[in-house]
Amino acid sequence: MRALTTFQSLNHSSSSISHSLFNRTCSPLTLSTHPQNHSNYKSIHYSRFLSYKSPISVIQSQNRPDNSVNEDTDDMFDELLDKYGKVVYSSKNDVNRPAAEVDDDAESLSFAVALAKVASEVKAADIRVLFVKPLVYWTRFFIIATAFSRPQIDAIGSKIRDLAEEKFKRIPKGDTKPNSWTLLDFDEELAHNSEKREFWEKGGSMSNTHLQSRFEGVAAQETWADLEEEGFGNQGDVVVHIFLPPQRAFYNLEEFYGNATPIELPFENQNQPPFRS
Amino acid sequence: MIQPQTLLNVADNSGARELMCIRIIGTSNRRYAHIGDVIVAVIKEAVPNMPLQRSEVIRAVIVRTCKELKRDNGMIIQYDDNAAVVIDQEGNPKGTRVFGAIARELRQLNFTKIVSLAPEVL
Repeated sequence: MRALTTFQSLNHSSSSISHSLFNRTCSPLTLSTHPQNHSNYKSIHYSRFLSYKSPISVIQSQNRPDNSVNEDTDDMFDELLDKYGKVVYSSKNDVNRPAAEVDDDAESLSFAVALAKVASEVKAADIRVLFVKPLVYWTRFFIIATAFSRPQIDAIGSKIRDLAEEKFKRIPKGDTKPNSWTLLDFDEELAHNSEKREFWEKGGSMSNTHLQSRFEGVAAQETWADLEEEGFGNQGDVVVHIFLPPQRAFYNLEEFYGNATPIELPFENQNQPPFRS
Repeated sequence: MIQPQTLLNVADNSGARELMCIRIIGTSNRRYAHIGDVIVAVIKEAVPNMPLQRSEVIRAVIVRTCKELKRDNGMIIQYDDNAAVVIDQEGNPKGTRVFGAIARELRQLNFTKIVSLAPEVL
């Protein structure tokens, strides 16, 4: 955790509110120990907002009648944080982070849109690209698509895999066989780590221009361990979900990630299934 | 440290309430299962009027353990309960939502589906 959110001169009542809020979440997670690298408070707030909608919060509030906190208190907490809270950076590197993050986001966005476009070329229906980074820390974009048969799922999956490997040098994890819910996980952390390892194993001077451009700013005397310490590439990237229609309705991921920002796609999206049975 | 005969809570809305581990999938003669391991379990207690019944044998992924999970960076995660998520043979979760906080190690172990249904990832 690099950025800590602190409170200054909180009076007694407000600190008790924040205490009860943290208790209610019932997880070993507080603001100061959140593993997220986000330096802004908003993201943390959104993730908490998501958990209100999830069934777990209902169960917890039933278990703990003393801590029944509604959204009004949450707003109050936000207000207090706006008034008294401030973001503290633990090291100098953090100050430059937001700009780098925006760059990474843009890179991921173009990757996600390219993948969605390929999916639409193979007649995947109802393609949604969601920006879920404010809700979950482990990835940036979700692509949710419907296919109407397992061969089609296979086709979409292999097309996406081919494109990612050819153009973006990324190999997904996840399902290899067509499944009723096929998931392709483009994990940035893994990609970075394998590339970095490759880079340093070859003595830091290699002919591969792709890798060179990626690590241009890295000083030559830095070692592999130093790079790992830096912790860049901590964030996941794009996760592709391909469903059969019944599974899509069953898991209903769009509703679960209802607070995510939908991304407009630059091509004609087939919202309606091409045929009805 | 989950071994045969261990009772686990169910961390999803599949309809099972309590599981008993009867086998750890993977290598033979393995003593204990940890977070991210698949086990064969029997349903000891189930919610009425749900597809899963008592005494059914299912597969499940362990998502929380009382035994602490150590990370390379020195972080230690320890939960108050042993909990698992019911999956089918293909690895899809039987429930539609996962409850409680789960560890991000599950994503590295190719259980991203469970991670994407979870409300909180540590």
